[in-house]
Amino acid sequence: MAFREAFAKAGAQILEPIMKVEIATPTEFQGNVVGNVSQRRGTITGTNEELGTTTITAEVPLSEMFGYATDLRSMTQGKAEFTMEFCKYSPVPRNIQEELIKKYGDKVNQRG
Amino acid sequence: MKNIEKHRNIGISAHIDSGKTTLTERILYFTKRIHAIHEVRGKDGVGATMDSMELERERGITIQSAATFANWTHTKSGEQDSINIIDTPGHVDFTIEVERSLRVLDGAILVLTGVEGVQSQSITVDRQMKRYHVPRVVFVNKCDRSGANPLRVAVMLKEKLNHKPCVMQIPIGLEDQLKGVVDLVEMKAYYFEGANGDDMIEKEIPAELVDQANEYRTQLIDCCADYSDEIMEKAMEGQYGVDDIDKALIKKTIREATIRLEITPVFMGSAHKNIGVQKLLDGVIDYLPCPTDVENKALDLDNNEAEVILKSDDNEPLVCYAFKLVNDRYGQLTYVRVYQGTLKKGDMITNMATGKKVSVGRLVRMHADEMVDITEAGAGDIVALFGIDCASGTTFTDGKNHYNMTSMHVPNPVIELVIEAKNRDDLDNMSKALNRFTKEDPTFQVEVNKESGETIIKGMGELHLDVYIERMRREYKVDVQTGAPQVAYRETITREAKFEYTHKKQTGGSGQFAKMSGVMRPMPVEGDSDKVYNFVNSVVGGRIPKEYIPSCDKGFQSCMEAGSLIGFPVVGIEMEVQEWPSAKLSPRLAPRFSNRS
Repeated sequence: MAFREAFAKAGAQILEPIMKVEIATPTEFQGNVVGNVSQRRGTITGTNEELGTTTITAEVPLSEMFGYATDLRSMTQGKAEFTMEFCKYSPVPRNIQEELIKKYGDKVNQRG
Repeated sequence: MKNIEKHRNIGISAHIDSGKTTLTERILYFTKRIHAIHEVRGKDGVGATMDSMELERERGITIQSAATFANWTHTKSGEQDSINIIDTPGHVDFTIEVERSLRVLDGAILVLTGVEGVQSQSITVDRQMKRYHVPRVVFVNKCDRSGANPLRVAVMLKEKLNHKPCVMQIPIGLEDQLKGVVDLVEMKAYYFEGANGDDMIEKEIPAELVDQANEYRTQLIDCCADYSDEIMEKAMEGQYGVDDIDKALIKKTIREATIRLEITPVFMGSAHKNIGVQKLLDGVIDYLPCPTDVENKALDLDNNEAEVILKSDDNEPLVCYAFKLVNDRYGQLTYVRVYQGTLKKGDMITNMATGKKVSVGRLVRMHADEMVDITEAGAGDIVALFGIDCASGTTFTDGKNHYNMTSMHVPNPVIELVIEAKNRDDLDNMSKALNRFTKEDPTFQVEVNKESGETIIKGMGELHLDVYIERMRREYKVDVQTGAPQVAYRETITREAKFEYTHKKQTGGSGQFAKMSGVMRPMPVEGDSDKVYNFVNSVVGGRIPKEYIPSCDKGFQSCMEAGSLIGFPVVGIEMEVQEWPSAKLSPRLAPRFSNRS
């Protein structure tokens, strides 16, 4: 009980895994790809263009990366590819934290 | 007896779809291990030899690394060499396979494509190779594709991976005109003809390429000059010709510098079109280390874990390392690399982790999923054992030495998925399957949520978990229902908070009463570190029994397992108990008290 009380008072926060994502795409699709990364709450950390291929590095929350393979393919006529690996844990934005807490609450209530 | 200097343990790794498996297939063909070539995604539906799993053939990807063994006759010297080859997956989801293969290899072929060159995954693989100090040669594949430029790839190697590339060949023709390569050491052109490029024909360098060949030859010699005084002298005098410098000296210089990880020889060709593979194999023999060229270290457990250098000698006491477990229809198969000594059938070997002795029942050499029985394996060999129970990463010795090899790097899982058997009757098989997978793959973890009773699997990516679910369906006939993929969230706090707790209970007899207070504060967690909690006891005065303190610590720790926000593990917290003025608890109840704390 002591732990829970203190936890609530201590500004509890949810952390989420952030992935380092590297996308190689033909330069013609660069705009679309970058836009899509931003939509997924990603931050672009670097771009590099070389002979028609642009390599974009970004940090994107893992929770936003589901189904990315399919999305990226349909955006770029299957010409782009990406890889990702774990980078760090970061706090989730306020609104998403509230959403997660609400979902968790619903799940607990359901089980009674 | 085999000659250890003629032995190579190599791995093939690269970015996704750059043709590792295709290359391995060609190597097997040219070394006469197989008699027909099957494409990875070929129309005959057979699939490449190394992709032995049904699922691998279907998807055209490599999931498990596969080991094989081949004999190669050097096209120049005519010497017989034996090569153990491990083909590894390209997807980052199966990174552990790459990791454990590199752990036991002496050298590697890093495959890059002639079009894209250094890709993101090439960087990851390269970093893994650096971690285990694996010398490598580069093979620029797919030079037959449009837009290919292997010489540009060599430049990328320098810019992106910080290698010192040493171009060994230049292509004859490019894209669909690719016909062969010019060897810059021999200064000869090689054409690959015949149905599957079986016939390697040596010719003079075509006139239009002479200038380019001379230019790159000069670069090659200049590169060698940094490592050999003799070559340096020749270079100073401007003697770059074929007859000016001894070929053996050039090869020796490149070889030594490669083994020291100072330069990276670059070969090129097209595995798919059967161009350049034979020359690459010669290169593997010429420039990659044999087991005695690399230093392998072990830790001596009897001597305060001091580092010992292992000698690749058959007559030394046995030290071998289990790097991969596979549980298939024949029972448990353990892949081991023999570092020193000889492993014989019927020997007793000691598991260094548990101290248990086991006998070697059956010893086999692997060729994808086929195996050949052997009676002994010498230093530097990679073989498989049957019926040995151990965890991957275990060291075995003959019992005289207490050595332990350093361990592998295992990354933490990042994705979770709730699974449930569709049919209740399948529960047994499901747990059997999960049991086996976790044993085989340290990055695949299973957990049962205490509160919900749900089974959660964790892994390195969507594809990783997908493959295991598919394997459960095929190999164990278990249909699994999956929940939404769940991200491995963590919970933490942002500021300090005080806590105070009073426990009162009157259940007949003497009352239970306890009161305590303290502070909870955030603690920084470094990277992947497991240190996520700290307990500080600053209670002064000894009015409460000492044993209450550790049980209080334990109580806090159990609270950390599931946070109150969304039920995920809590990290980065320091708990300090400051005051605990009174407690009237029966010792029996103390643990219960702490559980509630």
